[in-house]
Amino acid sequence: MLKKIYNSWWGILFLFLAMAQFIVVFADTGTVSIFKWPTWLIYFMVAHVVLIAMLWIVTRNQFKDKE
Amino acid sequence: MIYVILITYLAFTFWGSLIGVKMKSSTPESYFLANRNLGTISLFFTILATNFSAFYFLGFAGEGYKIGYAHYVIMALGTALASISFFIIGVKVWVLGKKNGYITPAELIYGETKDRRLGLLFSSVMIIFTLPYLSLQIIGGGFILENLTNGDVSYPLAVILLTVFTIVYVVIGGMESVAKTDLKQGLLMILFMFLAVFFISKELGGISKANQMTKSIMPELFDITGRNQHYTPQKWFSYLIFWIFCIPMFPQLFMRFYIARDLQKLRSSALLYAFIPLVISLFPVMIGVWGHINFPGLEGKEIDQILPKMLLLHTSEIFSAIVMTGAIAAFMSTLDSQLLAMSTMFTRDIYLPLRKLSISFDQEVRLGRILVVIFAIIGMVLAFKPFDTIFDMGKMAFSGLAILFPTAYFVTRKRIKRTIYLKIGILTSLAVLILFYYDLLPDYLAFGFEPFIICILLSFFIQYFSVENLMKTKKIIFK
Repeated sequence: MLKKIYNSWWGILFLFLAMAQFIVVFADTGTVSIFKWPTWLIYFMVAHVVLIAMLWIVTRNQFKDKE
Repeated sequence: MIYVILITYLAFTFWGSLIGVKMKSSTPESYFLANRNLGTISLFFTILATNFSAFYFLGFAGEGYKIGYAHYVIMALGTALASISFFIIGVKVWVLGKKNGYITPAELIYGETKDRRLGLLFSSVMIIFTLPYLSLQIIGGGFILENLTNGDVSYPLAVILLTVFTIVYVVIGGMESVAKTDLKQGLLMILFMFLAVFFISKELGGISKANQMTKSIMPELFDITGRNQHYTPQKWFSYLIFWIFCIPMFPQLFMRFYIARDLQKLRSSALLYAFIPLVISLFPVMIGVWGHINFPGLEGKEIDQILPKMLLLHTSEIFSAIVMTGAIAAFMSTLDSQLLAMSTMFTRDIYLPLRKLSISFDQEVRLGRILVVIFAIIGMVLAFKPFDTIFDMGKMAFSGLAILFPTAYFVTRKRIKRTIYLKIGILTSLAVLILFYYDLLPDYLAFGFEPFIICILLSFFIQYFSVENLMKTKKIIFK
């Protein structure tokens, strides 16, 4: 299942949109001690980093034989 | 002193890039696409500087002031998600461009479908909807120059000066000088915005203190929905998905897909492009949010000036002059790319095919230069009387461009059989977009989403009928 999801660009996209919508609906409204930012902002920053890591992993060997 | 900084900075940023460029370009590929030979760093910074413009400096700070931290996440994560479209269509555009020698976006559309009218339509929509975006750069530069000189240079004069300077620069340099400028400009932009946050927060007692103060004044700025419940879950969805469709359709950015040296360079640039907004989008939004501490109650177009106002209040005159001159240079580096892209598109996609002319490269460049002047003047005229705030003008322009994404997607990734549906899809969605913009269609028809989402979906739906083997689902992965 997971392989199917990240075997497609649309899969990655929908996964992250779903994650974002989940945070939007369920995140609490408190603040964290890091610069007194809202908690949900930190969740999004983590999601952002996960997205980049995922893109890096799935594209590692993508284009070596394409040119 | 301010004038010395202004002139020195602009001379350093722009004229340095012209050295050695003037005589090199002898083919369309070298003049318009820097010989399709840009490495990761140059490519990334030219994409970044092209994309992060007046909309970034003034628009983000203004929206931070108006809405709060929610705006940061929408812009940062939305932009990161847009890097997925570098893989969805950017890779295909690079491959087809290299194979068939395409220079403009519409050449690819025409080349792959053999439908001249579709190419014309695609190019025309791109040009028309880039014009408001182009004028935003001039508006932003005008605001800042007026603020920077305490009104000595009036807004209309600032608009004229910036337009003339950019015309001269683009006419001489072409893409190679534009890309060189973007690299310097991108680096300086990130550094200056970081320093601006550092100095302003120091004056306010640190980032935590500034956030606490703002939260006590206006707690809604820290809500996930933003101030006045601006970002409902539907709006969150709308904006997160929006950038995926609109960013690759900026003509100046679409043409950047052609200029990567190879696909690995394009991949690295896409990854960097996903990462950098996480950091840099935060800077102007923070300054905008903190604006409530010193400048409460700003309304309308005044909000767009919160960044220069905060800089002038909290930092030394010299530092604010440097940052604001950097911002002006950033606007100009977006403006020059837009002018170059639009003049190239008009020459190659509209003028020459309609007149059925075949001209030499020198004549083409000369015609392109005349068009640079014409488009710059149109942008300048629009800038004299902005029809909306910077953010909303940008939103209108971006929505029109996003409607073209399905066309680029189907043409690059599917076998097209009936191009008529591509044309109907573009025109119908544009009509719906305009009806929504002028309130001729009621908002409830968008079901709480931003109207552009309805237009993009409609565009996808209609254009899907152009695809051969409609009912067969094809694997569209990484091919």
